[in-house]
Amino acid sequence: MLSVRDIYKSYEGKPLLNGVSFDLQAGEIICLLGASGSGKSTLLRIIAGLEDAESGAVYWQGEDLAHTPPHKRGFGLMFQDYALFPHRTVYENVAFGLRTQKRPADEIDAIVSQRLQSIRMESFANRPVTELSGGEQQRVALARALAPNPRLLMLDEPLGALDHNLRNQLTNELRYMLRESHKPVIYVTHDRQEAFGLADRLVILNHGLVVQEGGPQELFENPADAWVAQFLGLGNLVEDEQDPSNSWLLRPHDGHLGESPQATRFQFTGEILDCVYMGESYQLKLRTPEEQILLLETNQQCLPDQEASVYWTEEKAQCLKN
Amino acid sequence: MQKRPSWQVILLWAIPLAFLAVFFYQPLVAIFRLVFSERFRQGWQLFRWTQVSKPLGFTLYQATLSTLLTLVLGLPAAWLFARFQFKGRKILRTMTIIPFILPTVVVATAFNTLLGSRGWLNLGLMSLFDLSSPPLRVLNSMGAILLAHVFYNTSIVIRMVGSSLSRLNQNLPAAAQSLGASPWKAFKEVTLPLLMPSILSATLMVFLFDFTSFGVVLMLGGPQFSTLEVEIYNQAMSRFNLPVAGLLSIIQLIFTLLLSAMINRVNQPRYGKSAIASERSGLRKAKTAWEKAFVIFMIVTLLLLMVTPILSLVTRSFFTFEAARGERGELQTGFTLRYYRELFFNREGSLFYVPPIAAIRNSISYASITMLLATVLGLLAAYAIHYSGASGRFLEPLFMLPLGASSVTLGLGFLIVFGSSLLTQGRFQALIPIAHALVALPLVTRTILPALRGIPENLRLAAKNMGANPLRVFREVDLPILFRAIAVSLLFAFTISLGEFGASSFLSNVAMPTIPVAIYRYISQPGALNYGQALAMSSLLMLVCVLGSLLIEHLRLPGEEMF
Repeated sequence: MLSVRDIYKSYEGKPLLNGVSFDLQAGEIICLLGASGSGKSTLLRIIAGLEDAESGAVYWQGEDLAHTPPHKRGFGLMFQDYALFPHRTVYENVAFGLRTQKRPADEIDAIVSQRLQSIRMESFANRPVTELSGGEQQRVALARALAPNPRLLMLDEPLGALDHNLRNQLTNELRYMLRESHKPVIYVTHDRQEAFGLADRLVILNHGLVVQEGGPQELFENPADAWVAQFLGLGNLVEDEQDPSNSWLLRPHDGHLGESPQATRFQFTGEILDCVYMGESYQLKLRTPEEQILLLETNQQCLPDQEASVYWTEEKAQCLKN
Repeated sequence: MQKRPSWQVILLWAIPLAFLAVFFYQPLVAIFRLVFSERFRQGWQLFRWTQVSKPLGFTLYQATLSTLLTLVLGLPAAWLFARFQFKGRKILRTMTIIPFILPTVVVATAFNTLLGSRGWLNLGLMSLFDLSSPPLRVLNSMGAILLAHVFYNTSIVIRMVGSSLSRLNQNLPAAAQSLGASPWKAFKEVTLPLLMPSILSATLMVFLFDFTSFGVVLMLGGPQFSTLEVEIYNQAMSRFNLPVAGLLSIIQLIFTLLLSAMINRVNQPRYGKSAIASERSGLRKAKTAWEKAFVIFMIVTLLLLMVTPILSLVTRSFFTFEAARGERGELQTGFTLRYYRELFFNREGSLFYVPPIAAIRNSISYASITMLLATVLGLLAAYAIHYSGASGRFLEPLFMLPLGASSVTLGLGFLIVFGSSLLTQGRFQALIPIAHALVALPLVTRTILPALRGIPENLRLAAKNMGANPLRVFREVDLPILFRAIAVSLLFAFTISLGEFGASSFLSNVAMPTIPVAIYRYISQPGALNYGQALAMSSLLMLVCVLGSLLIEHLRLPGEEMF
């Protein structure tokens, strides 16, 4: 449905987006995942038509959108700061997109009530948005973006401004609402848990390029390179002694305590920094004499400040390009 | 906050309040008393309706027209500076701010050098078409008043509307567009309503300044145009009809207070942080042909309306244009420093002739006294307000009220109260620094108070704890922290005093004028030297004011703005 091709955009003379391309299928939810400042928000603004790319193109069902102004694209965008109109009530905010479509008043009324109902905020209709809490604003912003029935929905770090507990709670709510809408969704975040929890497919940006895209499981099992593995927090990365352009990924739950029965390159001894009970197992933090920090999941409780040996079998280690 | 013994607070109040009571409220009451006692003695027939309705009607008419024209230029200019990046943007912006800080006399002189019979435009036309007399009579017309008011007040619109425009969260109109609103609709439904409070308060502010305009109307409008302010001056100074002048003052005061109250109401913050952007500067280069045309058109218009008068004044003050000695008809033209050199010579001409250097000396001594008086009183007032807590907030307006009374009203009040006793002794001009201090006091108090409120009380407690007595606490804690605010106050008071015209024109002794009064006198006299000296003094005054406000801008902490 949506094709983004070779988008290039610079910021203060430095390339921010350096030829980004990806596709989006009907009803698919993709997460654009990248560190802060990786140009994710800019990419969304380019797709929405609010900013121009220096080169590259955005296609919707094969049609180049270069000359389609933002208000004719029919792409809903939910801003990171929600951008609710402070001079309008909750109702008027949600009704805004319907009014620009010149829908009849009773239809607007019906859609807005239904939208407010779905976020359980019917009683807030006549409140000024400036009186809402962060979570309430987030829900109103989503309702506003969905109300005019956009053909594509884009969300820019929708949970970014909220505190941790609220985030976890709203991630589930959001997943349900996005699935329910049956719309193609581009969801931008820098939080991998959020991304894994919501996306059909993830697109990972680094240095202005798509470094990897794929389903959550695919990414989890086969990260494209060491940076992706580290960014997704998949485990320990140990430099390859023979080839410094490679690293080995050692996942915490694959490691063992003690001396390996077979010969392995991944045998380490070091000082225990920490041993934290995580519910089903302990997480062990070990520092080797080479100052390498290793994480390991184990059933055994250990005491800090003691020596310990850990190992990974060679078939469980993954070799990744740096 | 630690509570001070109340007698100390009362002492703090005593001096500034006594000053205000004697020099502000007493003259004000005197005006009221005069008007009403005359009315009871002679009935209302003392005042002819047209004496009030004519100047009031004209004041409202010219202020409305001036304000509308100022908005027509100011709103697009605010948009230009808040949205577009172009070469020379910063310089142009600074140049458009300058008019606002100029004394009225300088503005009037600047327009005189552009449009007057001895101004550039007429000189140019005369030499081009070989004319013997100036062809254009732009001065002494409504057009000149309007032009000068637009020149003067556009910077208010640029500053107030521009700052809220550049702080406006750009995501809001973007959100409207993503919801299907065209750029125009997004502007109309989102940007404009959010800008409305600042547009409204800029409009009221401009209207207030246009309404109380004195020097510009007096010097550029000529005898046929009389605003309330000018009429107060005329009635008092040339017809000695103090009751009518007093009545006009009261009407004027009512209007300014009403307008100030409205400005205060509009200025209440409304939407909080949600409408304010975080980091995006929002400046960009003009892209489409329309945008480019807009930017170029605005730059040219601003250069013409806002910058040429200033340049015209400065260049004309270095330009001689007069008949050479002995040879009638032969004109001497070209660059000269003569007008500046002559400022320092003492040529006794007539009895009324005052050498410019004397006016400069007078002004500097008045300004120095004003500066000290206003800052000391302002410091006392700020401490009094700060340490009185809730009751301080109640008393604060007492100190702000002089802002609402025009300096012409002040001059009139002084004339009524102190006139008989001081005028005869020729010491009336002693009141000039006092009048100037009254004008500066609200601004000084407003500058010091926030800085004072920003000092954590713990610092003082810590100093006391280490054994410092109250005086030492003030010297070691308050003074260093307040240093910038005090410096800004001194500069404010000094430049205000140098440029003040309304009260000075009432109070200054014929033999001892201030710079603006001398300029007013010189420019209305024939003779190239008189004209040239008026221009030289205006240019110097402008230079001092510009330097002063640059220094103020530099010293002021970031985030504090005049408006």
